[in-house]
Amino acid sequence: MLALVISLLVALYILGPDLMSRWILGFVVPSKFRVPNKSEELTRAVVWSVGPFLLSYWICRKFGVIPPLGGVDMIERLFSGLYSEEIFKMDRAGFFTTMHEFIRVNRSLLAFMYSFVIVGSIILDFVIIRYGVWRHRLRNWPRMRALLAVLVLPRVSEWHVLLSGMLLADTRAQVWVDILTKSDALYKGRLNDRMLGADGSLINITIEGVERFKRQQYLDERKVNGDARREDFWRRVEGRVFVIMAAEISSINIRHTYTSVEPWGELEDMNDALNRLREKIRAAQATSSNNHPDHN
Amino acid sequence: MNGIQIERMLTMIDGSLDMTKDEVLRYILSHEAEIVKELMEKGEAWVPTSAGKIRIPMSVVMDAVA
Repeated sequence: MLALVISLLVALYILGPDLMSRWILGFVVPSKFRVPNKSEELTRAVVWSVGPFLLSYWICRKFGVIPPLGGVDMIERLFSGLYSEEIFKMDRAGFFTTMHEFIRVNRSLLAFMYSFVIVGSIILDFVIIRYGVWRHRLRNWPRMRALLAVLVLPRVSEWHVLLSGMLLADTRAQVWVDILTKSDALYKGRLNDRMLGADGSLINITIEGVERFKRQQYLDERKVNGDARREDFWRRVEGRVFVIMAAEISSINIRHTYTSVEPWGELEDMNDALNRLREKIRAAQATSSNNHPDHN
Repeated sequence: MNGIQIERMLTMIDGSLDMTKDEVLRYILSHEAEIVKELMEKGEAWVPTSAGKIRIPMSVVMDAVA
């Protein structure tokens, strides 16, 4: 009975908060991308329980939600009764009084503790969603930036960090990959999806808008034409999405770039350059209109 | 891969994005006439960068904040 109660307490105080936080974390980071090992899991479980527990205990004691635990006598009576049936029979009324108090204290502590875990997890979710932005804002504060990395990165799979846009301050930026296969074929395209195994290994990568580099033709052409341009030897692969199994991949080049909706106007220098272009276009349009008045 | 290694990688990515922006800006400044011509003829212009070609639609140019 004693072992059962201790197991229950361990589950409620150490494992429960971690499971709760994982469940909430799963709303922003798909579970297939999170692959912590056992030691990381244990560390995370302890971290998630110690802070909220201490905070809960302090609040409960501060505002009188729970009474003092009654000293060693109370704990001795409770655990002795749990341990030995004979002791339980000798002081049955005292055992249940103590047990009632014990449950009440734990119920209050757990209620506060899980509330803190839920609030903390939701805050962490928002931090993960905005990680790239926060990271960018803290670029002049290396210690704060390192603290942010320690808070967020261990909770997210490394593959997810690399193959997603969570790193980027501008969420409009896209991830592009160049994939060299073991059969010496080179593909490039925009990253669409990736699948990870239970051990965190990469199973496959899905890309879209795929082009394949005709390397052999390029090399042959270079022999007869030294000015052959590499860009002319990319061929579009039919189909919307293209799946490459990880076992076939030799190397991956990851590129982060903007799309056609790049935040041009947010860059002061770029904005000046665009304004100059605009003025030139307007001047050219005006000249064109003057030369062809019939078109007005 | 630990947090420090990932942090290093992130710094490289930041650099890569900044480099792309710089490349686009440099190209616009040095090829203004070509870009204007391309925009007027096709309604869009393409800027070659190390990260691939980046499209500049006419709307982006005309909507630039003065």
